[in-house]
Amino acid sequence: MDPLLVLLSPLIPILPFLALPLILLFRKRTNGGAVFSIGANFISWLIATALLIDGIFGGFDEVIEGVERVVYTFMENPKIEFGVLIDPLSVIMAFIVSTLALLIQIYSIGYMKDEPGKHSGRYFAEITIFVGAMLGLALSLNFLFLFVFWELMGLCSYLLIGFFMDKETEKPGTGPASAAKKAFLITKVGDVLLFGGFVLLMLEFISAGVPDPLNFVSGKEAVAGGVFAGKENLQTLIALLIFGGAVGKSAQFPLHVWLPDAMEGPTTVSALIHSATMVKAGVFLLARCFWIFEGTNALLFVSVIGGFTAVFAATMALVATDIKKILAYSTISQLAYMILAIGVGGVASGLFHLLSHSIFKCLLFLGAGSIIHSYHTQEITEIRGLHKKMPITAITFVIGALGLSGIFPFNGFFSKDAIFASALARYNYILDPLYLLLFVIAVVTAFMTGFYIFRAVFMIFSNEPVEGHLEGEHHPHESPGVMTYPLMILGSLVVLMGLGSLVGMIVNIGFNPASETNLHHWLEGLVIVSHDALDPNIVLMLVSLIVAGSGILLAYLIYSGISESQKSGFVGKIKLSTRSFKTTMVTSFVGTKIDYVLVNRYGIDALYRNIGLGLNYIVGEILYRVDKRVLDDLIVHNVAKASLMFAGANDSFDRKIIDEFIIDKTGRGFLRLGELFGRLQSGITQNYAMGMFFGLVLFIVIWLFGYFYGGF
Amino acid sequence: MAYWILSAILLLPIVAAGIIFLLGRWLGDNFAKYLTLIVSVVEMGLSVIMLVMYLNEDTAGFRLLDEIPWIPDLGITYIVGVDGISLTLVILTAFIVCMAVLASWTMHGENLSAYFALILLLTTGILGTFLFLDLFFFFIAWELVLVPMFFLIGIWGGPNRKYASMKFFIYTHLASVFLLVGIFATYITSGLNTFSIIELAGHNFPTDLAMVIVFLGILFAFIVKVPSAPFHTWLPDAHVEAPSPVSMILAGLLLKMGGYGIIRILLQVLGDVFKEGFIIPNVPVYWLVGIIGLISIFWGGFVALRQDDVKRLVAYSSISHMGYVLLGVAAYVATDNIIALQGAIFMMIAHGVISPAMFQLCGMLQHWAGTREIGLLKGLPKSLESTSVILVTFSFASAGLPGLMGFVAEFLVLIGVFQWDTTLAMITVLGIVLTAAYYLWMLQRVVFGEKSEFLDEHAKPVPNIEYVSLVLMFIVVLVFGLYPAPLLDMMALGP
Repeated sequence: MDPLLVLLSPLIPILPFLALPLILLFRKRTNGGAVFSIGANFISWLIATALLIDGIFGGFDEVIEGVERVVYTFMENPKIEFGVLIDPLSVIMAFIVSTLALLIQIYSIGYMKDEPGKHSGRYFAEITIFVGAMLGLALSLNFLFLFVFWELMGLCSYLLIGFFMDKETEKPGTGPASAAKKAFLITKVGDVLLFGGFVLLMLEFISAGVPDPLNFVSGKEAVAGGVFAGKENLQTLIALLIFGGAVGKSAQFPLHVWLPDAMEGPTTVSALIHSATMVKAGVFLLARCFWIFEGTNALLFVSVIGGFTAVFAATMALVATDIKKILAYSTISQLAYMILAIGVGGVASGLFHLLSHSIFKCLLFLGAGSIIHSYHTQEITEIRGLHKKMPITAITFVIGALGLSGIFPFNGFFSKDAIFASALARYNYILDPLYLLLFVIAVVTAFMTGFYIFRAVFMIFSNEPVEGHLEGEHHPHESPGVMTYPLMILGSLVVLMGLGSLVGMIVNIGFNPASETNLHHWLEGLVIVSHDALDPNIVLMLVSLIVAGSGILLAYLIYSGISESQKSGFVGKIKLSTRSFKTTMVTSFVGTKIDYVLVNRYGIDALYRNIGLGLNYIVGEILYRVDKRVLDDLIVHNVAKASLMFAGANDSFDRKIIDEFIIDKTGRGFLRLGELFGRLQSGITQNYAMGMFFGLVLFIVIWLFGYFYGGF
Repeated sequence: MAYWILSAILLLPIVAAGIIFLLGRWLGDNFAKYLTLIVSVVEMGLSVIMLVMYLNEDTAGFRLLDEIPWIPDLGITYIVGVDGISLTLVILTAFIVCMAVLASWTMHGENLSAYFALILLLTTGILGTFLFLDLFFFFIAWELVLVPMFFLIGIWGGPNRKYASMKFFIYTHLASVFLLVGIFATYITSGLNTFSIIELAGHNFPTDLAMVIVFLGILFAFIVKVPSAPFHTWLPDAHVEAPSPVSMILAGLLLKMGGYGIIRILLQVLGDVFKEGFIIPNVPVYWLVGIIGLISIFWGGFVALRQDDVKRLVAYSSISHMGYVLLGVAAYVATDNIIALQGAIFMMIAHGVISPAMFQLCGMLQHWAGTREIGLLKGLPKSLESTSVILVTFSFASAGLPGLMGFVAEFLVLIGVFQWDTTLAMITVLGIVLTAAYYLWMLQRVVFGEKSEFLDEHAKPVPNIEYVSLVLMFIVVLVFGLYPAPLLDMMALGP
């Protein structure tokens, strides 16, 4: 790696933070400070890109073990330093984060144009902290700073979900304020588990004499050196606690409930924080400290949670009608894929999917934002004829949807296939039928993915009139260039990354960052399954393609419009019969029940809400009553009474106080106290003060006396 | 060699208080105000000089000692000195008093000269508690604090001030009786005929039942002051009624006297009892201290959830946060890991800066928004934008946001607790979620939503001078949150 670049690398996370004071100072003159936020992001992006390019052309081979650039010592005992860790994982992560953040920030200029919160500087101030924190997380060299940035992102997520502060909703537990609180608290549960995990790890390392107990590099060496030999249970516990953090941040079951609600924030925020970057932090964390998980049973747990969440979230996406909610459930489900991949030992596959998902989901969210911006609704049942009104948005949206479904040759196809291959390889390796089941679940999820995203696509493309809406009520139009160019760039990235993977698969060209083979090479040591197991498997690819394709086909049959020419033809007939079959199913007894369960998200949100309300209104109330009734009324006041009985009557002032204090229970005491203080206030204060002062003079005189003659 | 600096820091405020008492009547309130500000700034300057002198001296244990035999027959000595713990607390005192004086700047009312004189008197009391290394003088300083505080709450407080000031006085006075008895018992048991903390700290005390009872008596005195559950009910009342600058001193400094006492006397002097004493067989004393801390964290947190007055909420949050101090000290005794003790002290400093800021904000809400009722403050940013931003910032600081001081403290304390007992630690970390919960629940009702009608009628613009102290406090919280090493180094020099 170029030494100059390594020297500059701490600026990547620091610059966005430096933009914050500038935004706050000049927000009025710069119309919200976008220039500072985007400028800082741009410079960070330049450095990150330079690092990536350097890395691809050989630099990564030098830093596979990680190169540290320490900025300062945070504390000595335990030794914790602030700085950056340069290795392939961190550079790739920093690059993808800074790229997407840059595009989204540019897009925001158009999208947030009419928001008062943008002009006041609040939007870009919060975004720039977020970008700094996410880049800091990607480059952090120890657990503590990873956690610091992790929590800072949580703060930004809270603030930005609650961006539309004035919005109030009738139903309790909904609206931006509730959603923001929910997101912060639910992820906080995961955070404290992570916190506990790394503190336990640190204590173990300290007792083993590891000099830099929270550092990733030395931690990896220590574990490889056998710190946990004979303490596998402790290692598993630590791994599970750390995984708890990932479950919260990456919205996995059972802490997934916050992410759909988080869609209350502006769509740009959903794109940046709640799909492209922050929610990836959990996956990143697992990759970053995979050495703790390796060889423990915790990995089994990780893969089961991943597999279950993948299909679980996808079911909820099937019935959602809010376009952002569909994308949110989809994000949960896709993150679960990455978790699953890591659980089966395919860290490279998981990260490969992380990269492609970041791009296509970011594209989908920005596309959705463009649609919402123009149609003023998020309900897919109310959006019609998108491709006629907004051609650029429509095309890019379809590209994103194809990427998400995993259709050849878009990027999602290759990364999803890699995950399938990892799961299958794991099964072939240890022949545990559980892994075969996980593989099947992953494939089923792929079918559902194709279905739910194209359900949305076909609905918003169709021309059927919307019930209750007059034709031409809105005049949707294509978004301005500042919004469509980012869409086009992201769309071409989806295609290019897919083509790159294809080329990389065939001839394995060395400089392609998107190729899984290269990721595999750079992330060496993070992978359990052998390399050969991941060689292109044509059968598997065909299976995945057919499954995703049939999902899309089903969505086409049910949701696409039926044109005049089709009506009498074969296609029209099939469409009609599928639709009537679907209607029968949905309106049947079981169908309605299932629908009810899915729409209510399996009741988990309500359960958590009731737990929260219970703690608040029951435990809080009981303890508060104990304070008032038991501690104050019963004990304190009676102790005061008792102490009067025991107290001598020597000090009349004290006596008076206690006397008054007891009588105050009867109510009359207050009157008499009032008189006492009334007198105090009306001049007697000075007398007391004077009295006190002369006491003090005496004190000082005695002191001086002691000072000069104390020697005797 | 005797050093003058500590005596100067200690006595300057009381001398100034005397001048104001004597001359305030003729020179007026403005004179008192400016003199107090000057004195508090000079105190800041002196504490910086103290820091430099402290760092220049290179001896183990206490430094900058100033020692005068007082009543040699009884072993009473005027002795002041600092180590890493009291040094940071003295600097904190000088800083917070400065902030409180700034926050009093726009105060109106009669007799302000007496108010400022009492603040100065209070300062000497607090500084004395931290500086005296003689139990006799420690007790005098401890008691000296009560009197001005009683008047400050009782005269300049809110509508229910009489009740609150009485309750404060009775509670802490009762605790003082236990402290006094405990000090004498310690004095007699040691048989050294000295009240000097330095000498007593070197003595090995028996760990029998009698000594455990003495320990528990002194512990009672200190946890009333901290305050910990179940002896905390005076604090919310005192805070709610006290004027906000007084609340700043109360939360920022008075509560620290309890924590400091636990470290200086229970840990340093009666350390043997702390470590080896048993309340009942198999239950060591430090478990009791740790459990009291843990209960306080949750008790304060849960009750804070139910509060409708921002100031009462912050008061309960103080109870919760100070629980970490007890827990950290107990973890230190249990594990002998200095990190836990550093965490406890760091928590005192962090809370000593963050909670005054919160209380100043409460005062600003009262004054400029017209209320502290959470229900009436809905949509606050529409009227008081900057105040809302600062409220959110300090709420998160108090909830332990990483990058700020509170987090460092929680981190260090929890290292100790994890080393001590993993189960206990996992329960404790859930307290962090609880802290976040009550602040977010408050913010949801204050910062979000349409502007309330009440604010429409009552809100007034805030003058910029009010922000000066808040910004200064935030800078401190941020700087030491990002770079705690120098502060921790200082504390590492402690016991």
